[in-house]
Amino acid sequence: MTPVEQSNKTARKRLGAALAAACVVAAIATGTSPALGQQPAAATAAQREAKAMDALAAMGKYLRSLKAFAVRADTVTDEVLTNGQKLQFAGTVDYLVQAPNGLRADVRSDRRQRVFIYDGKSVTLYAPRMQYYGTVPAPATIAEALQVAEQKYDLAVPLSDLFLWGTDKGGLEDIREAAFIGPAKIAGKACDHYAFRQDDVDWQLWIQQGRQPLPCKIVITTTAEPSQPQYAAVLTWNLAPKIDKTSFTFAPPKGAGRINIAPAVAAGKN
Amino acid sequence: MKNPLHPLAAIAAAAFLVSLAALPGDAHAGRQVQNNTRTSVNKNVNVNKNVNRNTNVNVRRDIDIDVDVDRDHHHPVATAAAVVTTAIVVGSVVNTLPPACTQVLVGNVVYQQCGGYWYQPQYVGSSVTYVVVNPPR
Repeated sequence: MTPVEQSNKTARKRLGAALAAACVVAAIATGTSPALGQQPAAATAAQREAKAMDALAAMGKYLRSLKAFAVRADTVTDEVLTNGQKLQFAGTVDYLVQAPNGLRADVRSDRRQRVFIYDGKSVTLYAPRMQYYGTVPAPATIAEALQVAEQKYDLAVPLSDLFLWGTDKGGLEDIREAAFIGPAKIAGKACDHYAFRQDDVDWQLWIQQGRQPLPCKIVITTTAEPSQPQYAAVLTWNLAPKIDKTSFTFAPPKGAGRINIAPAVAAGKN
Repeated sequence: MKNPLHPLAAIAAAAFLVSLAALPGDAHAGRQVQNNTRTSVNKNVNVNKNVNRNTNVNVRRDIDIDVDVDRDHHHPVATAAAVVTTAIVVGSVVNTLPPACTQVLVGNVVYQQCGGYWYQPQYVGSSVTYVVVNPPR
């Protein structure tokens, strides 16, 4: 190899390295920053299909027109262990609702049973197998009570969206992408399948076709978690439930004991 | 028999002790749930979402917490082992009770008496944990 050839080779090497570095810089400049800056505005208009957003709004409006209803949710929940292994648990939730201030949710899974009762003044959480109950004061409507329970006490009622859609807490503005997927049969009923994306969750919703646009099924994928665990619920509706004076009052059974509900700050620290 | 404890019996008893003591801990090691799978689309935190995100911070809980059969099990040996190995300090919080506890109602407030120690159950979110407390009576 002549000195000139040697020199050329070194120069090519240097050029190559410089080009590679330039590519990285260019990728960072064009690929990342501008795209991040532009994405929200572009995505919102183009990717929220009107048909899907309208269907969601119509369902919310219909839900809020119901004065009373009962709904059974057959649920499947993924739980992720600290070693990354994903387990699946089946369960049910039975809701009994009287607008605007009566809610009862019986939550059952293989691992846990809870009764959540709201009577317009307070929220009680009861663990029937351990016979523990805790009560905290709550505001005057279901939507507000759910918000206080979650904010102040980290008490989340599964599928609380059922009580928020159609209100100003429905969260439609948080949706980044919305799409109509197609018709589907859920438990024998004709429904339409929609898909939505927003921060931390991708979710799918099946809405009953016809004059009663009720949710047939919901699947929530927690995208904030690396293993993307899912919660799925198939819903069975009863629009003429039996409700009496005791439906939303909690009377501690014999032997049941009161316990505290720790404020959410403490929950975060644990 | 003059010697109440035959050497072999002692070994067997020791092995039994070890197996009992090992079971509750080892069988569940690694079976803790780390995440909270979302069960609703909306987090009900309209005011300032970021401030309240810490409600989602992993409260590690045992996968079988709240199975609530634990307190009906009677493992006096395991209890003794737990008492020896675990520092039980008033104010500390545990996810599960030691075995062989008795539920006591003081007024309508519930406590669990486990050996010489008293625990007060509480909800942290919808999970039950137990705070070590001074004897309520």
